[in-house]
Amino acid sequence: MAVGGLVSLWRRFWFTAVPVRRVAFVRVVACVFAFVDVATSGYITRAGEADRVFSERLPIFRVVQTLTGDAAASSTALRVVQIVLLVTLACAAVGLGTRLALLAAAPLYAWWWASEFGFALAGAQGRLAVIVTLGVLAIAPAGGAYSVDAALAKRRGRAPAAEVDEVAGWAVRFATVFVVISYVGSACTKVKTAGIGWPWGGALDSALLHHGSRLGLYLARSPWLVHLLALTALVWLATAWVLLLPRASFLTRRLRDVWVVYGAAAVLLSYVLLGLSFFGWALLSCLAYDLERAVPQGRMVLQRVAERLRSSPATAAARSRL
Amino acid sequence: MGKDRAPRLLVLLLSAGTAAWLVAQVTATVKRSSDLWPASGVNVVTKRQDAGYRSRIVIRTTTGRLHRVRPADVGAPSLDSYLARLVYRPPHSLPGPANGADDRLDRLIAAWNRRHPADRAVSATFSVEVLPLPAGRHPRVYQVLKWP
Repeated sequence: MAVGGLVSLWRRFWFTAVPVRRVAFVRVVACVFAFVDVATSGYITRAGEADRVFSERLPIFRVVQTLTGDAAASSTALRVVQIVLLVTLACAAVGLGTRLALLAAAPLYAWWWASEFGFALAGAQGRLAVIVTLGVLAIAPAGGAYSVDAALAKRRGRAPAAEVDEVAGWAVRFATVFVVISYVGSACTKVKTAGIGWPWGGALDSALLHHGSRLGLYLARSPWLVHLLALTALVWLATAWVLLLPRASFLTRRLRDVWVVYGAAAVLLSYVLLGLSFFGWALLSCLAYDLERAVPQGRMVLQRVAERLRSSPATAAARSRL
Repeated sequence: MGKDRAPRLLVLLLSAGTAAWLVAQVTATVKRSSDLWPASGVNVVTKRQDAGYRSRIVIRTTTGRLHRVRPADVGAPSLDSYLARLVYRPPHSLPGPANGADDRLDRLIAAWNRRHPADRAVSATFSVEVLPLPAGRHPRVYQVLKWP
């Protein structure tokens, strides 16, 4: 294939324009999630008092340490980070100074969660999907809809943002591919490490005995159930590519729905059984849907409910009594 | 309002960034490394296991008391990953000390002593409780390291 053909294929895959409302919707969901996440994890400020012996920084955070010294990881600094992060996430959620707020929120959110375990992988990995999403949204026109910025621009008589945008398409595609590569990569690592018999290899059983909740420990007594769970989880991870299938066909849409529903259940189970929080990753499954339709459809449903309530005999009787 | 085409330079920059990220992500996945984080290939619950493991460090202090070390005692947010690197657990054999385990235990004891100058550690043992699979069978405790 000629170079021109490859370039065109690349551009079509990564830069197909999508409605700006879709990235705006993702912005609101991701920022509200991150806001609640940060607001309810104040205990992390105590990590600033941790002995430096336990700090096993990832290379990227070692660079920051070289630039800022240990002060940036102190409890006082983490308290400041929490406040600034909450303000920037609130601004990004309502779309006030959206790009700047997202540009600040992405690295601060990474810093916040990484500090939980001495800037080692454990803290930084659980929220990775949300960190990456905040980062790509900062590049995309995520403030083009459902935002104070868009309302202000309209009031000042400025030209409204385009309805569909190629960079918005890139942001959605990047976040989706990121999730797909991470999930499929995780399945490949499991099979490469423990062989195709990974579900029966005792990995999940062992994790349940080590980290399991009461329910997890109870479940560990039924190996067949644990292995069935492990098998379905492996199949689910390995088939994350369904998120990239075209949405035109009825079959691919249903496949995607099954995948997303199982994913939501799997994430809930890993929290209940192992105390592992992958909610941020699950949240990104919504990228597989035309989110811009959610708002008008939700509005329509609310209108219908309101109309039914107005026309119901009970309401009419209440009115007549008045 | 129509379809907005992104500026050519922006598309070029984003394409270069995307290609670089793809290379980093695939490299990290193949090497199972976290050095290129946020491109990371490290995953939890991957290894084949024939048992569950729980690690613990018990120290005897100058006042003579025996104390099981908790994360807060040594100023650690969590000790799970730190202790996991003290022990080598080959499949189907007994746990033993990992490379550099002595040094890591030294550093942990030093952290205890910094926080408890009036009740310093005089000796310590690092042991691993092995819980055979399937769950419910009797666990066994192996002493992996002694300090000093």
